[in-house]
Amino acid sequence: MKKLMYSGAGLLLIAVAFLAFNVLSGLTLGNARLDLTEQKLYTISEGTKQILGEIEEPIDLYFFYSDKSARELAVLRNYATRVQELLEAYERAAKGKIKLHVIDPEPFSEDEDKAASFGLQAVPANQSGEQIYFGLAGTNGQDDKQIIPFFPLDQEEFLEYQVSQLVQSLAKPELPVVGLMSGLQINGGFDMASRQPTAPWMFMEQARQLFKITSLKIGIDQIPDSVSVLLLVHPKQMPEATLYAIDQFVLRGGKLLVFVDPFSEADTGMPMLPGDGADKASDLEPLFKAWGLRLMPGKVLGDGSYAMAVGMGQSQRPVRHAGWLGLPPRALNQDDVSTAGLESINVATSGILEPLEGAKTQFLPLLQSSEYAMPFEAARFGMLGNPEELLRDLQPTGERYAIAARISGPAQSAYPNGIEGQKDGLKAADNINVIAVADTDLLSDRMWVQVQDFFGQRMPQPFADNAGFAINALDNLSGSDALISVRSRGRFSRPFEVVEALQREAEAQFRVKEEDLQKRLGETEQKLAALQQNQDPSKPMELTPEQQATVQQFLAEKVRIRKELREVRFQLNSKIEELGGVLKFVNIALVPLLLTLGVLALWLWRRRKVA
Amino acid sequence: MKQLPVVFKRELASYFATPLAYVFILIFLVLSGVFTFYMGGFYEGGQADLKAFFSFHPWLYLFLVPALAMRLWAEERKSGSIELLMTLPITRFDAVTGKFLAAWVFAGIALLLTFPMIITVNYLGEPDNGAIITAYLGSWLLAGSYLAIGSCMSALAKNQVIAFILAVSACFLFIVSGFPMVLDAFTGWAPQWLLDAVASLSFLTRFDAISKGVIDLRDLLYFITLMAAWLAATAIVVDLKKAD
Repeated sequence: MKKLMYSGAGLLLIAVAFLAFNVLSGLTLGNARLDLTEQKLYTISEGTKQILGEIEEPIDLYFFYSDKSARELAVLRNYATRVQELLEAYERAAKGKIKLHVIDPEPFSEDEDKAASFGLQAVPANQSGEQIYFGLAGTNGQDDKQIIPFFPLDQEEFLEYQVSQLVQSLAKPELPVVGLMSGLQINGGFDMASRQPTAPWMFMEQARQLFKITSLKIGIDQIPDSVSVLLLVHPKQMPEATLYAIDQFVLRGGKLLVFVDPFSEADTGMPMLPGDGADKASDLEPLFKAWGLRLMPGKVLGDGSYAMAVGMGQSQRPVRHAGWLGLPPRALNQDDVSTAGLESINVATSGILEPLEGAKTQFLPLLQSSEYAMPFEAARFGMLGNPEELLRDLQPTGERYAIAARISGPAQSAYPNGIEGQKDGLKAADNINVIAVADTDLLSDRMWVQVQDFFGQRMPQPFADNAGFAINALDNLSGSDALISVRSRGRFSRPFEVVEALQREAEAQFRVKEEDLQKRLGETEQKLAALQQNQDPSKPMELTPEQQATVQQFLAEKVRIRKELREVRFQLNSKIEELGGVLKFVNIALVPLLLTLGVLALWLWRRRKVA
Repeated sequence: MKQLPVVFKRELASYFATPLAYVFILIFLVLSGVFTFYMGGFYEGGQADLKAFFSFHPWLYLFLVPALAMRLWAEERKSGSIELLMTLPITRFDAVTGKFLAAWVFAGIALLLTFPMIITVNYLGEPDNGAIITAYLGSWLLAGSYLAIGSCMSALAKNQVIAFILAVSACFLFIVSGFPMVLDAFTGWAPQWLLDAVASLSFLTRFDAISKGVIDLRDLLYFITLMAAWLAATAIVVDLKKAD
């Protein structure tokens, strides 16, 4: 035997044993893994376990994955393995309530028809036209079905949320009830000017397909128990009884999506006094205070970076409006399920939300301004003639302001002693779930969708993701607490805080210098213009030698200031680059240098000892 | 087995007796830093993790570790000291494992000297240190796997340069086995299980999984059995070639 081992045959035996062992271990040892990431990103979370524990009727999950067609796509194969393992973990944790079927839908097979009939999307695998299915369908005892048409490869962080949401909607198949309380005619109404009924907002039509919408009157003193999410739009001068009802609803676990606005353009109510902007404002002040946030009172957010160009009527060029913002992906929180993956959201004269100091709740910004933003007086917008003046007056503070935020965590009642006639309500809750948005206009059609009348059918053509955001938020809130907790596990973005601080500091310094230089530049230009205006337009331009000299001097000054400005901008990042340089040195050269010195010292020491 | 610590100590000490070892560490540290900062764009990326750092390790090791391994046996064979070694009262297991462990620990020391990266990333932001530790473990296992292959190649060749080239080639095969260009050669005729088996041999996919922060028993067993298999092969080759 020993002789056989120590021969070429022995080598072959080792190779075969190694291969066989690893093929077998790949097949048999599933999910024996140690997750050492900080937030256990690769382990089923408590929230999911709770959802699985609450399943009453068995659920069938069909995992469609074109294994054979994807044989050359290593990245997809890896992710598919991960998805399958996760689904198997669900099956195990559900203790018989989930049955998983893994299906490889071969081309022209019954399985492929089944995948297609579920509504799964196939993507082409290669030029030969092979299709790959990589999605999930689920059914319950009542033949409800839910699908994930295709697992997006770039959304691994939401994988568990997606699957848990699917499982939950099968476990509790009735449509979630959304209670709508609105100060705007969001559900359609009557236009006084044209004496015509108006159509419901497109957002509501979309929401109606996914949720059961119940309209609630402003003024009610109790939110019905059947409501799982309250959609509150433009709350204005609400009676205390209604505020208390909302307070109690949120404390007893009801979810709230609230849109407030310092200046709602969709509010067509006539102002009491001309130019009275405050009349278009809404707020939920006492409740916000109890939840640890506030809407900056009487302030509208102005942003130089995200300002949209707005039309000023025919034959006029569009101008940029610092109060109308087109928010790009950078402004949308990419780690939250309600905003991740969205491309753009438009808001009009939105407000600013901020956490209160010492609040116990968590304040997670969902929509944020750029650094080139500042608060404006809301009253200005009531009689704003030319939006360009906003941009001119904009003095960025360097802060990124929150336009929407998710509020969660422990909260107290805003009315700890109850109200007249209702004394013994809830005083506090361990966890509330609120999403607050400081703009009501983002729901209105003109901010995000063109509606075309197509033979009597209203066809929406969205140009922004406003409705996507609002529906995602409703969808997320209408899930259970357990499901919402699945969302909040991952922290995939870990920015260089030190560098960001340096950046903020440098920008603040730059702005001070820039302002100064801009002022001087403005003065110089004004003087130059004044000199030229003194000329009689009927006469050809004639300057006295002194005037000419002054003009030359001003022009030179202008060039110098511009150059200085450029230099200041150039220096903006010098500190950051400096830090980068130091870090590069430390990581590339420092240890090798110390090591070399150490070796040299050792060598010298040894030589001396020998000598 | 008793003599294993003796071999290990003698070998490890021999690394530090020559300037070659320092040169190896210097090259490794400088290159890993240069790759991380210049090719990986670590600083510009602005993310407090060490992805840019670890992603180059498989390629860095591809050339550095065989250089470390090439002298393990080839030198002994060339200088004839292998005959002396074989006459000593140590088993082949002790000799092979002792030499390997010394080289592996040496590689580990080189890896530990990249600690300024950990300090840097912790200074800049709040990284997931659990994932970083796992990635270090994965990197060390990877180095061990290259070493085991290199050890066998060193036993095969009398000439260190040839041992180096053989080891680089063999390691390269293990890197690319998950790539489409390799899998393409199998598609069409090979059954799926074989294709999966070949893909599962790839260092890259295994290392990727570990450097994410998840230690899968299968990945761990893969690296351990791979090392064991190549070391066993080394012992056989040493035995077969001792007469050469």
